[in-house]
Amino acid sequence: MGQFMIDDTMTLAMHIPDNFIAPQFDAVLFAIMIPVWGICMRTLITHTDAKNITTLGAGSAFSFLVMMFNVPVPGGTTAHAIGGALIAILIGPRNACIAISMALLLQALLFGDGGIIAYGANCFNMAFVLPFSAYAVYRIICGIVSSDWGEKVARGLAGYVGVNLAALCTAVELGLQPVLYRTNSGQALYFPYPMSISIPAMMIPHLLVVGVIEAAITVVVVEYVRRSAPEIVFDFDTNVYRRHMDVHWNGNIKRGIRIVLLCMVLLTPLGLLPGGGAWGEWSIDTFGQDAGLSYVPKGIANGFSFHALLADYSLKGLPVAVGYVISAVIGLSVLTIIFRLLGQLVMRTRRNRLNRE
Amino acid sequence: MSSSHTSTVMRPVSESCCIPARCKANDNDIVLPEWLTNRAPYVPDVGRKHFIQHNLLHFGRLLVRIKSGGHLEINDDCIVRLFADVHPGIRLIGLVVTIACINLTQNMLFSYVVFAVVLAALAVRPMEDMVQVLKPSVTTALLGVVLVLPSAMFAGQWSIMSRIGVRTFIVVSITVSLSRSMSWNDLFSGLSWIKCPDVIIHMVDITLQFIAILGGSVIELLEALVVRSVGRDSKSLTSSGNLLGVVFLRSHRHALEMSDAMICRGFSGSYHMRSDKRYSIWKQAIYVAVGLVMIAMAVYLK
Repeated sequence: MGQFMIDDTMTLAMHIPDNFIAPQFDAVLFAIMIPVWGICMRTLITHTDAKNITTLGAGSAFSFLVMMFNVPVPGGTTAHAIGGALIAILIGPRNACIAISMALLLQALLFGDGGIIAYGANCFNMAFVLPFSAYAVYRIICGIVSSDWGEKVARGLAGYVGVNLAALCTAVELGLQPVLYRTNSGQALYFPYPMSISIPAMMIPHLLVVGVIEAAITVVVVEYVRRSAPEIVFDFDTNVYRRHMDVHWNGNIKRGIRIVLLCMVLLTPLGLLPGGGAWGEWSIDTFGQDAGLSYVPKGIANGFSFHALLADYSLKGLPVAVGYVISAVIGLSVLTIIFRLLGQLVMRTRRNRLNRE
Repeated sequence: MSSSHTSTVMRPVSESCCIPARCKANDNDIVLPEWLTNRAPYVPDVGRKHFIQHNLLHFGRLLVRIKSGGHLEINDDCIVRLFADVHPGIRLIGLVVTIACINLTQNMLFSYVVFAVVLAALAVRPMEDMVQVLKPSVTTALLGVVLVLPSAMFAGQWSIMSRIGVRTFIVVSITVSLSRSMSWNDLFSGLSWIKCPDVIIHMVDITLQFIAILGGSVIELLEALVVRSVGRDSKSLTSSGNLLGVVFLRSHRHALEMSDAMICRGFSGSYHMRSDKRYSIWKQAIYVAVGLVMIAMAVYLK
């Protein structure tokens, strides 16, 4: 494992900003995601109803809020969980892909968390690799061990493996940039650190801390939902939702989910406690100093620039914590509105199709 | 008498004959003139009835809403229940104050705070209300963004797009939300409470009633137009103009008749709003307090 120095004030994030990956590289990952999204959307439209869309919206909102909680990791840095594994276990990996993609899109457009051009790469890592790998691990272990504790172990391992695989993909993508895209003088055009640095920098915190957190929340949340509303859990034996059209959402479950999401919104400022900036999310002005380089890669200096509405989840003039809560409220509300409208659209499409038949 | 089936054979006669000649072979044959037996296939062009159908649908929806007194059909709405016990006049003042605070603050901080509250309130509303509020809000906000796009591009003031978009969205959404959570009677009660001139309330009242009456007339005329339209109507604009002319004449006649009827019933021009509804003092106090906090925040964050 290569030796590297990381500034103690920096944090690690899985969200790849714009210009850290070459546009051509982003385009390839985006092209990989297009058929994935197509398949997932087709499954969503044909196999789900309006209430399942609501579950999907709740999952997306939960993922969005979980990603706002930063946790301290070794080295004086911070990182965050994603919640992708529990969403995949609860509503299926294809629906989880859509849910996390929506959350990432909102983060990129409204809050500048993760790039617009790098959206394909971020979705590949967090919306494709994480839920599908987590779900695969869960199914394999459930197939081997069929007891209750075995299922809990399966959930935990699914979360742990899923988030670490996603982190590994991110590290590899970043580490490939200086290898593939260099100037004639040998300077990196985009992300400057090779895999010998990016992989340990990403994997150590995720293996030691983030993976454990992801495993813990996967076990706890899935257990709560299984006890409260087993009918809404994805049934992988039949590959469809176990719930039937005439089963209604329990009012207590709805209330419970709203209370949980509200509490998470109010507790989001806790994610600011660890402090520090994000490793990799360096501004162009201080890039050299933050990255420990004597130059700013040309692709980063002259690349695409996007000014989000609420950049960095903050509002200038308000305390950071208040800005964080307001950003969480806005993000949660927008996701809820989008998924409710999506549910209405799905129902209308299905009704029109039935009428035509 | 034997029942014999009279066979009728229709045969064309020569074109030179004006009067159908009977066939000498069979006296019972009915002979039709040639011009009557010629096939004249007519396939009308496919007419675009989007104008008529769209307007019929729109008027129908409007009439349903107006004839129900502007009451909402949706009952389970936490936002409506939250504000139901606040006097409509106070709510109207609150709306005006909120719009003023949003537009008078220079920086966007206050607007973003209100934006968060508006979005959260919208997210918990019933689907129909949410869609009906979102449609005009998003449309107007996008229109505003498009209008300022040239200045943003050429002057480099990109932040103006978010400023206009967010503020327009907030203003339109809170106005439409208020209209959808308040019946017409409550609206008049509120206007009277804030000492709005009776003549304005009278105009609004008459307008709403006439919309219901004339809307019905428009629907009847549109239906008549649909029935009379075959194929593509190249004079649809003329038809629409004639329709509107008829509606105008009817409205004029209705207005004169209604004015005479109101005078006969002793209407003197003043509105006395009597309401048996009791409003919660605590809720109104909280509403006013929140409004004052909002004003203080707007001044502080200005």
